[in-house]
Amino acid sequence: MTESVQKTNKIAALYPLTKFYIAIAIAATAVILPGIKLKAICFVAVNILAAASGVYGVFLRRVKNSVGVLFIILVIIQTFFTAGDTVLFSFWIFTAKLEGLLFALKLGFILANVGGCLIWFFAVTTEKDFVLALEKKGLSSKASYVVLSTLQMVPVLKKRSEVIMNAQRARGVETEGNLLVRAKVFVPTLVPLVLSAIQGTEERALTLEARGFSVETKSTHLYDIEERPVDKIMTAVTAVLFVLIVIGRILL
Amino acid sequence: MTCIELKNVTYTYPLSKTPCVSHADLVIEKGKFYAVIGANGSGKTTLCNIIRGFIPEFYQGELEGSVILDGKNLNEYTLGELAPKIGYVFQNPFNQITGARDNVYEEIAYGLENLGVPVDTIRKKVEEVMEITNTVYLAEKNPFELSGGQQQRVALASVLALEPDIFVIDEPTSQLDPKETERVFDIIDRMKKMGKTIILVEHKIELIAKYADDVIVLENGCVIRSGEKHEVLSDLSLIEKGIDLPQTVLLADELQKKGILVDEKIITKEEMAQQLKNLIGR
Repeated sequence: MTESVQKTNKIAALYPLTKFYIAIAIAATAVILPGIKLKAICFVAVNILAAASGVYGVFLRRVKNSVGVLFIILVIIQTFFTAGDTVLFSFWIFTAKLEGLLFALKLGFILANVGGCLIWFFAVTTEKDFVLALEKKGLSSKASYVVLSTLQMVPVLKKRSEVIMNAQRARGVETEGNLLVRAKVFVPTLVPLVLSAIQGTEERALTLEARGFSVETKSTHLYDIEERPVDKIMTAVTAVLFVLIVIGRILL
Repeated sequence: MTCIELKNVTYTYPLSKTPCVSHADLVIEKGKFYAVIGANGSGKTTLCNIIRGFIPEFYQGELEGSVILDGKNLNEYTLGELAPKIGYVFQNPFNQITGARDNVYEEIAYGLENLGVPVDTIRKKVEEVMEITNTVYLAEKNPFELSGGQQQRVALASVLALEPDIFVIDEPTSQLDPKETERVFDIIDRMKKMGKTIILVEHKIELIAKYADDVIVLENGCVIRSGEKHEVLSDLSLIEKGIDLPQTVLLADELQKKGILVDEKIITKEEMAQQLKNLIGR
C-alpha cells in the first residue's frame, strides 16, 4: 500500500526525512499553540494532509482504532472525575464538569495531533526508506540492522508462536477459555518462543559475520533513495513556517 | 597448492575439561572438495568454526596450534577480512536469513553491500549467482516466507556472491528433503567446477562418495583418517567407529565373501554397475 501510493502521490513520494520534518513540525505546532480551537485546526490540517497524500482511508482507520479510542477514554474520565465548579449535567453518581471537558479536549487534541502525524508519516513512508534515510544522515549500520530486522522478525515470531500454541494444544494444554485459562497458557507459549529466539541469535550473528557485517568499509546500497530539490524546498518551507509560528506564539 | 593448513590444532570450549578438537593436522589443497564425516559430537562443526576463524574470535575457549590461510596465521586476520576469503554456510536455513532485507534479491546482495562493492557490480554478481543457485524465480519473495530448501539455496547464493575461494559448509542438507538435497549438492558441485575449495560436513555418505575428492574422518575430536575418497570410504573398520559406508562397499564386501572377485574400492553405484558389467561380460 505505502509503496504503491509513493509511486502515484507527490506528497507520499517526498524524501522520508522531509515527511518526518513535516510531521514533527505539525505535532510540535499543535503542542505549542494555545487553546482548543487552534489545536483542532491543526488536527484538521493533519486530516487534509492525509487525504492529499492518498492515504485517508488507512489514516482514518488507524486513528479511529488508536488515538480515537484514547481520546474518548480521556474525555470520559476527565469530564466526570476532574474537580470543577461548572456542572454540565449529572446522572446517577456521576457529574460532568466543564473544566474537565475542556482539559480533556486540550489534551486529547494534542494526543490526536501527535498520534495522527505519526500515523500519517508511517502510512506514506516504508520503514525501509526511513531507516535508509537515517543511515545516510549518520545512523550506524548496526542500529539500522537492529531496527529493520526487528520489524522483519515480528511477523516471523507471531507465526512461530502460533506453531508453539498448536503444539501445546496437541499436548493437552488448554488454550481457549476465560482470562485465567489464557493467562496460564502464556508461560508454556512464551518460554519456548523466547528460548528458540535466543538460540537462533548465535547462528544469526555468525551469518552476519559471514556476510561481512563487521567489515570496516563504507557500505553501498543496492536500494537507494535520493533527496531531490523539491525535498530541500519543502524542508526549508516547513522550517520557516515553524519558526514563524514559534515567534508568533512568543510575541502574541 | 595448499590454501589452509592446520598444525597440531587443539581446541577446548570454555568451561569444558576435554578438548573438542585434538591435535588436528590437516592440509587443505586449493580447488579440492573435502568431506568431513564422523559421529555426532566428534568435532565436525568445531573444526569448521576453527577454519572459518569463529574460534577463538567468537567462541572464546583455548585454541592451541596454528591455522594457516594463504601463508598467514588465521589470528592475523579480522573476522571481517575473512568474510570475502572463506564463505560459511551452516545447518539451519532459517537462521541464515539475516533479516536485514525484505526480498531475496537484496538478501543475496547484502554481503556485497557490506563490503562496499559498487551497485552495478552487485547487480551483475547477484544475477550470476541467482542463475547458478536457481533462485531467480524467488527474487521478489520475502526470504522468511521460503521453504527450508529455498532458504538454504538463498544462503548458498548469498555466500557465493562474495566470491570466496574457500567454502565451509556445515550439514547444509540435514533439514531438507531428497529433492532439495540433490539441488544443494548440484550447486556445490558447480562451485567445485568453478575452482572453489570446499570443506563440507555431511552425513549423506552416498552423496559424499559421488561428489567429494577427499574425505576426513573425525572421532572424539581426532582426525582418524583422511585421504582420497576411495581409500577412506572403502575402509570397513570405520563401521565400528559409527561411520556409515556406501552401500556399494558393503555389497562388494559381501560379493567377495561369496567368492566373487570385485574391486573392494567401489564407492558409487556407477562404479558398481561397471564392475558387474565387466564380470558378466567376462
